[in-house]
Amino acid sequence: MGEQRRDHGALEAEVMAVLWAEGRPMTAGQVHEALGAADLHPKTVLTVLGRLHTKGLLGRERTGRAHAYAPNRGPADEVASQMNQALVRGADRLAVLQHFVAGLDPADEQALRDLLDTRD
Amino acid sequence: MYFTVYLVILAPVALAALGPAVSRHLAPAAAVRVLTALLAAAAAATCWGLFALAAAGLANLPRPHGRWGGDGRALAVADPVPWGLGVLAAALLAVVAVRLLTGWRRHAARRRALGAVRSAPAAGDLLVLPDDRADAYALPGRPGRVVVTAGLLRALSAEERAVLLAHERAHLACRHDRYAALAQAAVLVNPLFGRLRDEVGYGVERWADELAAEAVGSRRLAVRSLARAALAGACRPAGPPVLAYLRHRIADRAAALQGERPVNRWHRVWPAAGALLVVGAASADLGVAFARCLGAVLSS
Repeated sequence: MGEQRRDHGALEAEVMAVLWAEGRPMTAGQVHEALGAADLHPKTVLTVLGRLHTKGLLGRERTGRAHAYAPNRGPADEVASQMNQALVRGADRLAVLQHFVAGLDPADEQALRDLLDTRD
Repeated sequence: MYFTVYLVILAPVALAALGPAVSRHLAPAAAVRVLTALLAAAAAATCWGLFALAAAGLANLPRPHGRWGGDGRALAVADPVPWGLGVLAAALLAVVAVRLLTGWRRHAARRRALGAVRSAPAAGDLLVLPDDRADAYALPGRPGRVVVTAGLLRALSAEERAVLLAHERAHLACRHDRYAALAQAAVLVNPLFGRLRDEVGYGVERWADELAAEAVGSRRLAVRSLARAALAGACRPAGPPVLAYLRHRIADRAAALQGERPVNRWHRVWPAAGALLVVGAASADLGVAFARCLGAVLSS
């Protein structure tokens, strides 16, 4: 039960990430395709989209027979302003937040570019 | 007691010097745990040493009557700490206490402020910031949240985003914030531990990198995601200067991920274990000497 709920949470996150990354309204079919998960049932994606819509995180409009979903700006703006308020108070962010990447100097930047070139 | 006190205060510096060797020879998870334990022990030893010096020195304050009603001569014999040193140690101890208290209050205030963010509606554990800059971080607590900017989501492919989410979830699942907070507290006690604290900061990132690579089943993919995210962030103005110490280590993280999965070589960290043992023994010895001293004072 707990396992299943966590999976749903992870799926919600993935769907949301896709919609923000694409930056355009998408139908359940398009989201399913962008997720690239063959083992995922299209209907599951539709369920997740519905749940995110209920939470107020997604807006939707009817396009033909399906709904197209896009992220709502409002909740995200709200979180951003709360985040800023909280972070303005303290300088040492390390103890509270762990960043994925924190910064880069020019030599490292070139090394990483080379790395991406050789691996793609 | 005289000698032991200084050992207790100075030994942590030796411990701090051994830190980098620990992270070189152990896999990130073990390295972070060992380094944090070293820091906690070293910070405790510093406090204990200062406390002993302060108590012993202050008891020798030049007064007509002994501090606890006795004539004080018994104490002066048992414990030759000059009173000036005692005053200095007491002052340092007070500074440490104030630094810890302010640090703790700031930490608590920030956590409270972040509580509002935590209760905002999220997609599973994900919060997206409508920001074009590339940034991502884990927001620990209950419930923990992964915060990512729209800019970074756009910069990554679907499978690279999976690495990013796995990395931040690893921070949350392993409670990396606790190691970081403990390391920070140790630096508040003794600023000489700054280097070791940075080593812990690097270690938790490496730890999360390894878990993310495991989660997506590909070290190559993990490197690519890290490189892409770093480059997306690099086009923007630099972050707060306080994080500058992590700045040079993205390339180190990428190089580590390109290598084999790290294993623990415990036999290489014996010097650190030895130093820890010395600090422990010195602290214990100090405790015994202190108890004897107290006995001498009370019976005089």
